[in-house]
Amino acid sequence: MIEVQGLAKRFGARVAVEEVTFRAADGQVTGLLGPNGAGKTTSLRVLAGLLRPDRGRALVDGADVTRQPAAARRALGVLPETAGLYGRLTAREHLEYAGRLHGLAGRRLEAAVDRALSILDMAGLALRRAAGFSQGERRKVALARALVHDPRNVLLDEPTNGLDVMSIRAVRRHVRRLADAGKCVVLSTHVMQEVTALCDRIVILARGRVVAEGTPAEILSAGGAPGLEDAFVALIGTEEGLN
Amino acid sequence: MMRETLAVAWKEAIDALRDRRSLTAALVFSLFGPLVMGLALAAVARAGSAAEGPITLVVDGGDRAPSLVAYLARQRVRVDPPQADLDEAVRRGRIEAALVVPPDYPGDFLSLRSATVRLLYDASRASGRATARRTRAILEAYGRETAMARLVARGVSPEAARPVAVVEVDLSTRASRAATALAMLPIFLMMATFVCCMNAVIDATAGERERGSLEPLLAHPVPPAVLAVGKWLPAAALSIIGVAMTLAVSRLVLGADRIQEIGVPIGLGSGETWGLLLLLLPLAFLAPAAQMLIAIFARSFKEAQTYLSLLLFVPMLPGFLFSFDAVGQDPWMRAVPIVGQQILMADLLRGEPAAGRGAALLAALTLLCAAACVAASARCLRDERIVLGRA
Repeated sequence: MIEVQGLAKRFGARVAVEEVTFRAADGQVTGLLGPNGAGKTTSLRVLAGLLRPDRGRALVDGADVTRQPAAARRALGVLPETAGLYGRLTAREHLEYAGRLHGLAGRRLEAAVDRALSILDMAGLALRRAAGFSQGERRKVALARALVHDPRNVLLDEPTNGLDVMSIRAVRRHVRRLADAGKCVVLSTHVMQEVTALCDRIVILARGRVVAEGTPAEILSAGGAPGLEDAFVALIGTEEGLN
Repeated sequence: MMRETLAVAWKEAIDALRDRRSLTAALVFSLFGPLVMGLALAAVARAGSAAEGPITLVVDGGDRAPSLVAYLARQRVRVDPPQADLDEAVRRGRIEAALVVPPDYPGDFLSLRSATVRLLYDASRASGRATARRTRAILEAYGRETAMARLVARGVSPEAARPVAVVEVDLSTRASRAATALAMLPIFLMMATFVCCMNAVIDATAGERERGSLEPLLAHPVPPAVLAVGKWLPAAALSIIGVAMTLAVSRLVLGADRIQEIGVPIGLGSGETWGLLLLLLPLAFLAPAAQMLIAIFARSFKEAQTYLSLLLFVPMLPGFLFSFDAVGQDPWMRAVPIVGQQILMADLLRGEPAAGRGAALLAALTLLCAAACVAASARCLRDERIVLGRA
């Protein structure tokens, strides 16, 4: 379970997150929806322990990400915006490296890597070096890397960004499966279909604040509009940054 | 934490070893230094033979000065017949030096006026300079002998005409000239510690930021010190390999027949080789640590390369300053990392026994600096400006 309470973060004079509070339950996909610059990525980075919040706190399975960083990170799998692969390492070596940094070794490491490779049907990639990977292949490896230690909580920053249709379907199918297996999944997106296709709960962010929260049905009624997109526009008060 | 540190070190080592181009560049560098030194020493060997071997001199108009030509022959100068366009031949280097005896020489000589001869040589060529200098000395000796003979014939003591006799004793030997060339070795060795690990360090710091892999890396439950140490150790290993290779190649070069011919007692014995390696070992840990601390502030590989190329001047500086006598050596300098290594290496090559306690102090201080750099790099790794690529 992931909890964010009264989070605030500024970079110099620019306020990235003003006041964000939400809770993501196990077994559900929670979508952070908002236009560009709404504070989605900053919130996820605080959760991943990469940024220190100015105010408020973030908990992963009850562990405070700034006070107990190791415990929080062990319970967390993170897919950042950029895949960030090492061109001279193979897909398998990426997963082994991540597994070792999560404290896995020996037979447990091998088993974890094999399982992560099987998730996204990556047998063909395992022994190839990342330098030659397509955008979709890179995302797949990055996702498998985030899941290699079988975390109970998963953060996905724009997981389908820049992927082709086939890869998007594969990633979405897998995200759904993670939630069905009882994991807590938080993903950020500015793509409407992603929300309707995947999310059990939606947290709408705008200008660093939560402007609405609830199931897709609740959001629809709160926005007082026939479609989710219209509801979204009504809630954030602008069409800026939507697609 | 040990296991995680090894995991980082293992990954960085594989990554660096697969980077063929950087690896080749590092290896080429460790060949380059000793080879340059070898060429310089070979030049000393050649200059040496020009200073002591027989002189070959082209003489134009020798029939006008038979006694001079006879004198040259007695001084073991090989006299060659003249050829067309002497000036051009000298300028082109086909002839090292030529002597021209003009038509009025016999008349002047016999009537006791100063008789002129012209010595042609190209001062821009070292061999021409050497031949001209030796020829001039022979000609002056001939002039002195002739003068004495004339004075004696007139009943004057030759001593009276030479109130001061200068005896030149050139103490520069081939050995000391070779030592100057050998002084390059410490600089090359020191640079090897910096050059050989450079690409690996950049890849592990600025490279992580450039390709966006720092963010997922930091999401793992390991403290930044583990990452910093794991990235530092393989780079230090590359530095050590670079120094060892430079030393090995230097030993081969200095052992070559051509250079042994100089008769210089400066070959690298196994004692000197191990001594140099031991002296440089702590520096091989400091170089990547200092580079890491700088490269971490660069957003891209290229930016880091710019900074670290500038850093390369640091190991070169003390050697150059000392060799030009720009700064004197004070005892405290022996404890300063980089400067101290330069001084102790020079001592070792001169055959002075290295002071054990001084070297130990220097090694300890160097390793302390390295540890400080690694600790500072670890702090920087967690810095938000670096994580987000804003710094």
